[in-house]
Amino acid sequence: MRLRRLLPLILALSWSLVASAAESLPEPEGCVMLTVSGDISRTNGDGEARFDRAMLEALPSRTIETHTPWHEDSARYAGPLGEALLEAVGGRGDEARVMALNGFEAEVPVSDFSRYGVILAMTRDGEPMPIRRLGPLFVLYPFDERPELRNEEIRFRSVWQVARIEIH
Amino acid sequence: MRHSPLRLKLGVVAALLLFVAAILMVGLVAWRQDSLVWRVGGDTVWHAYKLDRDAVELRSYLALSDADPEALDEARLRFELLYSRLMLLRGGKIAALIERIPASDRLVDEIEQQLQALDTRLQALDALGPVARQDLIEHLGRISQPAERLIITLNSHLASVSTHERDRLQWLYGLLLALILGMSVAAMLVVAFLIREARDNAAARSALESLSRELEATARRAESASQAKSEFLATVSHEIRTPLNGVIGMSDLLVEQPLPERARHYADTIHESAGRLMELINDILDFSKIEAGRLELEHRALALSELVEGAVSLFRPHAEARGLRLECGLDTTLPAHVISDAGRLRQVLLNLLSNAVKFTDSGAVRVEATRDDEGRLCFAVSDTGCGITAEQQARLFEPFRQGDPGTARRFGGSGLGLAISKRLVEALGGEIGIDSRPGEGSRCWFRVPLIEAAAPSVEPAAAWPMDTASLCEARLLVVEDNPVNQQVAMAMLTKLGCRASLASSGAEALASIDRERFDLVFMDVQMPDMDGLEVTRRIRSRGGWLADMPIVAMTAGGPLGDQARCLAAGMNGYLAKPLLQASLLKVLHRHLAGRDAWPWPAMPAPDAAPATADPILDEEVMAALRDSLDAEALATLVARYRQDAADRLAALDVAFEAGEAERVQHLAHQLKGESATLGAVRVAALAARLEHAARDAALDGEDATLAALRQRLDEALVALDGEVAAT
Repeated sequence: MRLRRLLPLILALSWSLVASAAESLPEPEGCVMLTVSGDISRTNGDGEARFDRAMLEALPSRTIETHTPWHEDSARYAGPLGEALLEAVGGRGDEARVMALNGFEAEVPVSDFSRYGVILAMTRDGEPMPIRRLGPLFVLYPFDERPELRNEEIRFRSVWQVARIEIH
Repeated sequence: MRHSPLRLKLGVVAALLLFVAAILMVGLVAWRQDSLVWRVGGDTVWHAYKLDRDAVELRSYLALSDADPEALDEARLRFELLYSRLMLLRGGKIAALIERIPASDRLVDEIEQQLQALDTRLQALDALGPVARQDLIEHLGRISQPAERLIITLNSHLASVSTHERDRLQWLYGLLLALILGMSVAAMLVVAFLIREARDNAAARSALESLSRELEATARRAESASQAKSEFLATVSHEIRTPLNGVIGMSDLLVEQPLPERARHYADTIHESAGRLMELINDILDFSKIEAGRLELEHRALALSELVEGAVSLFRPHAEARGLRLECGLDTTLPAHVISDAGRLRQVLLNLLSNAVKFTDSGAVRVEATRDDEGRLCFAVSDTGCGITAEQQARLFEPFRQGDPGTARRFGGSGLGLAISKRLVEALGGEIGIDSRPGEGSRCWFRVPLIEAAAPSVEPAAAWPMDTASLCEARLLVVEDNPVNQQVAMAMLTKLGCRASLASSGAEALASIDRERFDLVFMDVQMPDMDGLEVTRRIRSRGGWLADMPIVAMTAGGPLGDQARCLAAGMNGYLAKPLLQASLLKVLHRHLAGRDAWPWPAMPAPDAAPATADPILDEEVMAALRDSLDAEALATLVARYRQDAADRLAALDVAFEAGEAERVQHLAHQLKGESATLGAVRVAALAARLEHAARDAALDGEDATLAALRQRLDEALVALDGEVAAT
């Protein structure tokens, strides 16, 4: 009985979800910093979602102040939430294959994004990160906040110089 | 653990120490695992390798690329990526590791210089011309050598560190293994000790259990031994008393006989010694009973003056014989009657008095009863004797202790008297003590709670009139199994003129009762076939006249014997052995008085005093005569007595003059009996005195007695005439 009454509501919600998914992403205006592909529902050409700096800055973000295994000192890193990026592209996979400019790639479970609030760091202490300083995008886990993250596995998932992400 | 053996403690401590050491070892190993080399060694080598590789790749790209602007961008991107490797080697934990390896640090510096130079060149380029490319390739070539050397240096360092660390870790693991082994051994030892301890404990417990069983058995044996001892004491006392009763009874009879002086002395000694022995046995039994907690006290009203004077009068003859004054004083503020145990008070008082008289050679002994400051009843016996030291005083009230060892030799006695007195007084809720100084006499005292008696409920202590003893013609039965006791009892009763039959067992007694009617039965309590209590119960159960027949128990049960049991069995009285004429007579008096026929045959009055304030005629005897005889018979009897007495007096005169003591004794005896029968107590008393004197062959000076006798006889005859006239 209850299910039958709820059915219209569920249908309505599903429709709005589909409608929003169908809504396509705006075209990037600047040079493309990140390309997301794979099992995604929102794209802006060629089945891919391409982001310029402005688009990434527009996504919900957060700042993480932490040490990393690769830097001497603690610093404030800011950038869009992995979760927000996933939502923006309507990603439906469990894994994200993160690929770097230097050819490195790592599989990051999508669940890590929500569990740890992982960001794609774009700035370090307010400054955009150049490639030589592990920019422009850096998959950053909150190491200081969650000490259990200081292990090889997470270090391997912390990809820097990110250029592409494939959801699958 | 508190009482555990040292080895167990050591084992536990060793196990704990080894455990702590092992934990430390594990911590040390973990710390080693966490070292820089372990954490970032791999990364460092990887980045160094990638740096070299990126440089090589950039070089080959530059060699193959052309001069278009995209190629420059691509070259710049690749350079950026190459530079980022350097930044990785310069940052974080990796930089820290590299700083520790001096050679590698220098190599990284060299690479940095080259890269910075390249950076400057690359920034300045507008396009990748062939010259510029050649210049860049050349500079990149300069990186290759230090980069390769960096990889080698790092690898060799890591290899040596790894080897070193592995050795150290192996050593640590070995140590840890040794510690764990040691710990295991210690733990096993502890377990072994615990098992051994548990086994020891079990053994100790079973030993304890068997010990407690043994102790229990011992206690049971001791208990039964103590019981056997008590029974033995009772039996022995009975067995001693039986022959002793014989000695006392027979010697009692013997001293009544006319004896030569030396034989009399012997007889007296026997009598006295036997008496003392009996006292001693009674003392010991008394004491053992008190010690066993079997002392029973009675609380009845008693007259204080009778108690004190009675006790004093008992010792007066003895004291006077020794030339001592015996005084007594009673505080006038004391009540006439108090509630206490008269028997016990008397016992203590007599004991103190006997000591005082015994140890005083001259002077006076004074008995006082007063009320002390705390309102208690205080008895004191003071003497002017030798006195004793404080040291002796301390031991005085202990059993079997006397003032000094010489005392026992000089005065005899069990040494129990004061110990018994102390316990009796304490049982009565009082205290006893002595104040004495050597040479200044002693003052023994005891204090008991004073409870005033509301009314004199106690019968006046009836001084039994010895001089009105009776012979009886009642039919008596003596039930007694012991031949000596039989003889004593029969002899005494016969002497008293009684007709007594003898039954030597319970069965025989019952048979005699079936055959004949008796007025009084003397019943031994302890007999082999059937005890006196049982015989009594059977007699009572037959009913009829047997239900009322007086039965008097004879028992050697001692002064604390159980009258209650005898009375409960249906007996009417109680007679303690040894039988004495006095007590026998008392019993006869009590149980045969008031009978219809009360014949008064001649009676002995051995202790009659020569001069007394007695009435001329005994009222009781006269009453009995009047009851049993009519006036005529009484007149005939008096006439007969007048004639006989005159004859006897005449004959006495003759015999006295002739000095025929035996004849005098015989005649006096006759006269005594006749006079007593008619109640002429004064005549009987004088006749008795004469009889005694004659028996002792001491007739000198007794002519006065003879004269007095004549005078008393006249008085008695006048009085008798008066009686005859009155009827």
